[in-house]
Amino acid sequence: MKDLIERYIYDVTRRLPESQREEVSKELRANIEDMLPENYNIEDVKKVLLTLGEPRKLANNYRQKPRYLISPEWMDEYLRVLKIVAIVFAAVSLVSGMVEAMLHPEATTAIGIFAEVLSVTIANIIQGLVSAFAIVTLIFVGIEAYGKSGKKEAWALEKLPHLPTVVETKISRTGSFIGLIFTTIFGILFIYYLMNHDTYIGWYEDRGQWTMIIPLFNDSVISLFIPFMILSLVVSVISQIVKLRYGVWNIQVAAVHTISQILSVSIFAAFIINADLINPEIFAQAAVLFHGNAAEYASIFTDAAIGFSAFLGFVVAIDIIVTWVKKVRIDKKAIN
Amino acid sequence: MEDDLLLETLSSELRRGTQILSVLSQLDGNEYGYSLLQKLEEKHVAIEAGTLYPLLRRLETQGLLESQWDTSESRPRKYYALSETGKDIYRKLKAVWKNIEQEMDFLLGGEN
Repeated sequence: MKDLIERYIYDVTRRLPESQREEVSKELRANIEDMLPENYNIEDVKKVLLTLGEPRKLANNYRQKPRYLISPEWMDEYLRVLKIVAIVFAAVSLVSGMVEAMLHPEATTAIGIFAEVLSVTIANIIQGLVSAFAIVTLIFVGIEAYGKSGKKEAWALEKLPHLPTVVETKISRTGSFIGLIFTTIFGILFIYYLMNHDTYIGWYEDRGQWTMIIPLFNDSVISLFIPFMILSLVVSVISQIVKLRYGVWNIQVAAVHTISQILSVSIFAAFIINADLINPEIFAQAAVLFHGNAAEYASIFTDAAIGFSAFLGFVVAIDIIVTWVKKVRIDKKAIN
Repeated sequence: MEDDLLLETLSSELRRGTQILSVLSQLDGNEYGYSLLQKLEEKHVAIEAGTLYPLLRRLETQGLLESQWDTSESRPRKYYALSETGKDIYRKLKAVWKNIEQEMDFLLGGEN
């Protein structure tokens, strides 16, 4: 019986600052005893404790100041900054994870590498999001602590933000629709021809009728990249559908657009830069035909692929920056 | 059903504002936690034990109440009474309340 009361008191006071514990437990014990009748039994004790209610809530009532990491006052700013930082971190982790996993895969089979890249990328994104959350939260906790020390600037009329000139930028529905159709058709055709590349793409010679004698691509590289191509196509289609659905540039649309663009370009670049992509026999055949050097042709092709990827990367980077800066219009003043 | 819940939240919010004044009003003599609770209950002022006890402590740290332990009886008890500041503030709060009462009367008077 006494035990139950002591356990209750302990459960309340353990949540309080050391300095208050002794006094509160003494007082609480006296109050509980006052509430009990003469010659009480266990049922009376239970009734009294239930009247006092949950120890967590009672402790909260005893606590003099409210406790929180981020006060309601800062919650809006916190969520807004968190959203932006999370998107940036996720995008960076997406690219770095994918590039890293693609450049140094540990698995040997195509499906193994696909699974590896996928899992490494997802793990990377999760890690990025956790870091974003931790960093932003820590900074805001710091602001909270600093703000409480009293150095708060007074609010002034001059601090009101200017009205945004354009509230939102529309996305042309026709444009998105055409984009959707073209992405789907060309994406599927592209993947179809890649899957059947050894029938369609290669070195043809006129032997009565045109027949292919050497396939252009290395089959193992193609089968490695097909799942990534399909993934990229699916994400692009989703991105177009999202644009069609919302019709305006907002954070969600821009985020999907960014992810889709980065994904497509990274996969395509990794595809064409891949040293084993082109069947070496093609270079050998070309060297015979043009009296050149097969190794030289191969290195020219790789250089061209790297240059083209860099160009694509540049274009996409500009596109993404323009999307975020001009179309979504993150109010920079509001963030600071 | 939802309206009932909302009403309950709103009225308890309204009551919470009057809690401190209710407690101060009953502390003209020495009272310990449970005796004060009973005194309020007799006058049909509902306040939960889990709210009242912490409130007394808070009012004491704010300087409105003074307390002392009575260990002469078998059960030790902590007695609370209004301090000088407490008396002063209680008088002023009472005036504020009278004011509110008049204002609300004036506002709500025409609605019956």
